[in-house]
Amino acid sequence: MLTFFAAKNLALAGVKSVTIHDVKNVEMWDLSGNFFLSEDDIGKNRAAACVAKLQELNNAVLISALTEELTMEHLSKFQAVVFTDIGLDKAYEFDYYCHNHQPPISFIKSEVCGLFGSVFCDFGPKFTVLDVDGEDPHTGIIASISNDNPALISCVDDERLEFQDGDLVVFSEVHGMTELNDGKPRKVKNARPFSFSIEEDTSNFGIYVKGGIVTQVKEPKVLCFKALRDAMTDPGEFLLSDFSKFERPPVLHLAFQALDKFKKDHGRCPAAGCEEDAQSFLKIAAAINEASADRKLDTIDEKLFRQFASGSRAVLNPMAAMFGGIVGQEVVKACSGKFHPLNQFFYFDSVESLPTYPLEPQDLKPSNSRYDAQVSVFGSKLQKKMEEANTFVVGSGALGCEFLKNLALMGVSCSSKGKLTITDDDIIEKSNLSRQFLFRDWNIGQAKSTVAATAANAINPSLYIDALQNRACPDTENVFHDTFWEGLDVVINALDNVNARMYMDMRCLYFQKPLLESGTLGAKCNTQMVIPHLTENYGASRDPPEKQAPMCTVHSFPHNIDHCLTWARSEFEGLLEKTPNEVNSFLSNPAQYAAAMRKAGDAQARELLERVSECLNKDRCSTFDDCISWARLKFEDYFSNRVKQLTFTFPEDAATSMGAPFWSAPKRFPRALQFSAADQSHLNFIMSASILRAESFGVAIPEWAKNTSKLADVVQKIIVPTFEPKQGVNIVTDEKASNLSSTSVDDVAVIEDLLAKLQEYAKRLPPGFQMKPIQFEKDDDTNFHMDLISGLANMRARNYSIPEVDKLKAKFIAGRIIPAIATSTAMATGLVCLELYKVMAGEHPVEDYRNTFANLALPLFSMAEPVPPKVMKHKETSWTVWDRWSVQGNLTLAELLQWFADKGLTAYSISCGTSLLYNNMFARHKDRLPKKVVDVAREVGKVDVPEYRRHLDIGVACEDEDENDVDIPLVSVYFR
Amino acid sequence: MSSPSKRREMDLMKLMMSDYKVEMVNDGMQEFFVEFRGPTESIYQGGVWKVRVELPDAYPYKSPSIGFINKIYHPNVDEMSGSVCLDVINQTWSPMFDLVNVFEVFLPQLLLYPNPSDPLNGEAAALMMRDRPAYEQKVKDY
Repeated sequence: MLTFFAAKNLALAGVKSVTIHDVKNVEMWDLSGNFFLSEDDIGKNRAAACVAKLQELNNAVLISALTEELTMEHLSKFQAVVFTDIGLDKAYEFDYYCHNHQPPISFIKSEVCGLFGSVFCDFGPKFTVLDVDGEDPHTGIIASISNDNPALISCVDDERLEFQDGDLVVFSEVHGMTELNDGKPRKVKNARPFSFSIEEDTSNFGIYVKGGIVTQVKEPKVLCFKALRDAMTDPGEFLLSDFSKFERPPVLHLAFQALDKFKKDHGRCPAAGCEEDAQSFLKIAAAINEASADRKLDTIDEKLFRQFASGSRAVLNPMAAMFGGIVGQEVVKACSGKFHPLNQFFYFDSVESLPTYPLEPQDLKPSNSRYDAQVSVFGSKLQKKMEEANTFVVGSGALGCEFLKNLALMGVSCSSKGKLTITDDDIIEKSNLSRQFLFRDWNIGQAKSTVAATAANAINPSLYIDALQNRACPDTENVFHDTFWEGLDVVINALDNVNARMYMDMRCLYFQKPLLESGTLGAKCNTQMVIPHLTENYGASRDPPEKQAPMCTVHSFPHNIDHCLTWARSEFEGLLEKTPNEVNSFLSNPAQYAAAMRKAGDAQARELLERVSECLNKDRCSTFDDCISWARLKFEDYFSNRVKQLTFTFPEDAATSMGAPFWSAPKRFPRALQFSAADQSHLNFIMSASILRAESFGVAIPEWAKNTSKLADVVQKIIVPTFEPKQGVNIVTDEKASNLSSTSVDDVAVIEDLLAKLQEYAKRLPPGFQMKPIQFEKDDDTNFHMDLISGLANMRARNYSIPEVDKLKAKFIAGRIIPAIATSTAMATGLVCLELYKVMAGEHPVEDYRNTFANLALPLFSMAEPVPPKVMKHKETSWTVWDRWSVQGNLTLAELLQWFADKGLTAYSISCGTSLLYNNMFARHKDRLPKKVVDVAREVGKVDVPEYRRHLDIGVACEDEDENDVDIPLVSVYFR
Repeated sequence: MSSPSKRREMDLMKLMMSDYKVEMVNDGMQEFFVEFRGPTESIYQGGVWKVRVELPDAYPYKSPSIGFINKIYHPNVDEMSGSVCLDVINQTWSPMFDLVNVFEVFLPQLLLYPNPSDPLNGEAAALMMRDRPAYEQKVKDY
């Protein structure tokens, strides 16, 4: 089964071809873990039965089955081979062949036995890694360079440097010390947040003047792998995954060897719960341990080895998902040289997933059901609990698909007493198919949740699943109401944004439900368990928010492509969405619009009106030629005139009042672009801008609009007025006087004037005219949105000599998308499902739970116990974020204040949602004291408590007698 | 430190306790107006501005957005929209800061020491750099 999980990830990753070898036929036992198989496939060859379904995932990958006995000749055709079910002796032979083959064939061996797993990699005696971490190279903007040995480079202090000692860097655009621009990599020493040294004597170099960018270069790394036989006796350092199990990897190294010996002796795995097999397994382990001279373990943990033996035959779905992810990634590494391979053994276990109560042998017996493997590890009691669980999966994207597959295979919510609710308001787009593997070409345009639910039902027909298309947010609390929440056993997040996660966290906290949270970012993944009263909640600790570029930088002083893209996004929105909306609201009700503008009467209102007026008069487009001409003039305005104005106001040699050069790093001096119809990127800008302009004006787009040579003809005929920079500031008084008067004149007067003009323009429009606002949509490749955005951003980048990006890269940056990859998604969901066993069994202490951070690129696995919730105290009472205080009775505000006073607390501020019900600083709030709390909430906060609910929740800020703030929990007033 | 949910309330309280005039809209805590006086010994002395404060959902993890409602001539304030380009507010904000810091320290600092090398109002910045008296005159005219 592990094979098929890895194969699935490879098909999604898009390697060239995958061949699956298997000589065995499908048994009932296989169904618990292999979602490609159904009961109809029993008795067929396993590999052959899966090929067609794998092929559906990605037509570009050639998938075939090999069903005869495997020989060396077969192997010679491949770049990488993965063995998942092979005895050690055979493995030694194959590995020897691969290791010594020319060129070497990457050999990967992986096994999952119950809650234990192993991976071994041998990529040959000399394997070159091109990119060890997959991160973008770090960069810095230089502020100064010393003439010294070693030379000290300091950088501008708006972003911390991320170089490390030993990194190689190259320099470019350095003025003065131009010797450094030779492109030769130099080694970093003494790396600090804003400076570093290089191994270079610059004493005789030119004197640094200004400018310069330093960029990290990635050095290929050569790894020497040992062959399996050598590595077995001398395994070197194991990759550790869990610091609370520091001693575990050598133990598992022994256990897997013992299992191999047992299988060789008995021709089968140890049976679940069988004492005789456990004894003989322990004996074998002890014998191997005795023989392994210097690596001998002092004692053998009998309990652990028994657990290992008992579950060894079972391939559990979460384990296979996790190892399928790891192995899939290793294969991609072997084929691409991208990311650092696993060196060489990795062992993992999740024994904490076993129930806390003892398991009886008869409870583990198979009953010829598809869950036999899982039952043999966890017992039928837990299986029943899982089948009867009421589960809520939020999101049906990449994570959601994986979860549904896992849950269906595990049998979660697969009895009439259980239910799985999945919700997602998104529909399937083409770009989803590469990782959301339950979707196919023919599902494009359909609701994600529905398609995923149907696919999950095909995997396991007894799944009780309800697919909804509601976004989880405050607006859908009529769908996900109190009764819905109260019935839930567990919530699984499969979301892609922090806001939705925060919302789900808040709801789970409120209804005291376990929340299993996970996320991926490229090859990285993390999981977090939020368990009522045991752990802190998701919102208790969080990452700093994404860095946003300051406005002024985006406005006039961009220094990287991100700034240009941010600017492009905001211009797109202004031109194609906001202004058309504004125009429409004017046209649909001119009187009301005018009234609103008069009431505002400020500079903002004036600017809006000016835009509307331009749109309806000067820049109005009625033919496609108008649109082209508009686009051409926009080009001139954005990339020539504005730059000319800026460099006129701040010439290249401008100095600040302190005398320092104005244009110093990180600022880059811009140069105006000269439009040329021969420049393809100029024409592309004109094309996308005029097409979208036409769309927003409802102008028909002719066939030839997409023909650049025809477009070039039209563009060249457009007359572009020459631009004279405004003598804004230094040609002093007159200009300033007039300038001053124009701004000092009441905005109101200007607004009146504009409104009058608008009335005129409106009369000239065809009756019923409306513009069509365009909302930015990054995922449609044919709508020209990304073309315009990347055109805008790249032309601006060209102004500032910033390296340009292609459309795809622009899309990733503008949409803040890091492409999700199937391997890390599979791993994250596998890890979460291992935790689900604990949640379902219940009674696990917090020490049994694990949060994980992993990066498959390095690779790194770091698991830790969740952090317990913070305990707060006031006098004899203590509480955590999971608690709530309830107040009985329909109290008035005054009575409520008294309730707190009796506890020795002064409630100085009371709120409901984002509305302030009472604050002792506001005199007018005193009038509310005799009113009932519920009534104040209704009047002030417009909060209506639904009929079925008996209470109102309020937030109270209070102080104790010493005027220290006391952070009390949410307060529920039971007024009915 | 207290929980984020109560930060809005606490910050608002502290602001009022420091004698700032706060004007609320229907008792909502997401957006309100604060009266701000130009710092003494600055060319903005004597000026009174109405400042709009918007607390984002992620406050205090995300910085409040600050905008001048009535006009102010300043290199780091956008003339049209009144939005402020203030390093501390936009970039180096930390949840440890609160609204009193914004009004007692950050905004007065901005008015006392404009930073013309990172302008949002380019004209004001250029004027300040070239012709200080004219710039000061213009500030007063506003």
